[in-house]
Amino acid sequence: MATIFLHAMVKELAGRSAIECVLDDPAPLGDVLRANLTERELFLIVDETGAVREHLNIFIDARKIKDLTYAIENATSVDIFPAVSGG
Amino acid sequence: MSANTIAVGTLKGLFIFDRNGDGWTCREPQFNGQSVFATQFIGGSLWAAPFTEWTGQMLCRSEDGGRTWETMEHPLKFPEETETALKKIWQITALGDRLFAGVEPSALFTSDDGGKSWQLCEGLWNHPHRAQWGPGFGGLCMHTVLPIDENNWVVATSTGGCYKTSDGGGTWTAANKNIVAPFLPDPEPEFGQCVHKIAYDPSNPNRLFLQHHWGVYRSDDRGDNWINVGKDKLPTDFGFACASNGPDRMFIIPIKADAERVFPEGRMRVYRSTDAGENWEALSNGLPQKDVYDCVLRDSMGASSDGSVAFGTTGGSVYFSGDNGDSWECLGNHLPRITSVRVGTV
Repeated sequence: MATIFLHAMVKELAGRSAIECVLDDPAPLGDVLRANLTERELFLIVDETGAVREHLNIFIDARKIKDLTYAIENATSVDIFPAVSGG
Repeated sequence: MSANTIAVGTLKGLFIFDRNGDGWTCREPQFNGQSVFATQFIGGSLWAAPFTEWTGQMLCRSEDGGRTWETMEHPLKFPEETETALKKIWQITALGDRLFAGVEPSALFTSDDGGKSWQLCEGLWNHPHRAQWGPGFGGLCMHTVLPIDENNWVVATSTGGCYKTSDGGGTWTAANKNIVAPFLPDPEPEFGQCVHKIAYDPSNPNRLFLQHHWGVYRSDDRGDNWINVGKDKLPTDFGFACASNGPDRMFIIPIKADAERVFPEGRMRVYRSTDAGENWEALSNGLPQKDVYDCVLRDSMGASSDGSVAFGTTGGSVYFSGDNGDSWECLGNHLPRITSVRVGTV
């Protein structure tokens, strides 16, 4: 089971902090997000052109990988953070 | 019915003022930290469009005057084939059961199911002029949406100008005749004018009022022809906000110049015409008249038919008049930069 953790503002706006996803096979992160998030939740992270929002960061197993084609599998941990974009 | 609520959108949340006897009280901010460029009273509902650079644009509705909110589950977004991403919602309005949203990049959306789903107005999106529209300082935004009746709608974009349809959005024509554009090679082009805001007279929907980058205009034929009604009558020809609560009454707030976005002479004044722009009077009773280097943006003034008028400044001050501007009271200072103001009843 992969787990997608939402942090800070993304968590507040989505209304939940973690989404558990059972994967039969490794799958691109974008496909996993589309299959397991509501349309509203997904739109917080990915715009309608398929681009991850500029000021969000995605960490896969603690490595910064902002790539929706990256394949994840069961036991993968995905963390989605708002960037510290204050400056 | 007297207005009892003022919704003030800012760069850091929505502030709601409630009438409390003879005065007003401000609630804790809604959507704390989020920008609200568009808010609107529609029927008994209050709508708001909170935005953040991190998570994009949302659209929310409240049925209890802004105390609790429902976020639309299916976001307003561009169809995939446009290869375009929504940046911001700049305008929300309604005609009957149909909702309208003006957005950035400049486009018009409609909803016939209470905001559950939205459709891009393809007639306007596919207009051949659109590729030549360019962004003003606020972005390439559709800041004015005026659905006059089922078939006749007027919109305006910065920069691009005013457009109108008479077939419910199927076809559109530029409607900028006589509006000058000194920044373009042709000073009176078919389109490209830097229209800042348009309001319509609720007692005469053929009559439109327009604040342009260079002047204040009126149309008596839904935008087919415009006449400059401010020339040599106002302290400047520049400004953003424009509101009307009819009949023949309009309010503008002159700003010194595009490169000096402050009140002329350091005095905060609203200008009112009660004869559709033929004559103007400065309204300053209750407004600060010394060393005020502040500004009012295009959507930061609202008016209602009971004589209520309110505006908010980039410096975070909110002013209200219950007598069509004869006198003003300050409802609050030091709010974040104010981007939208609407007066309504909930």
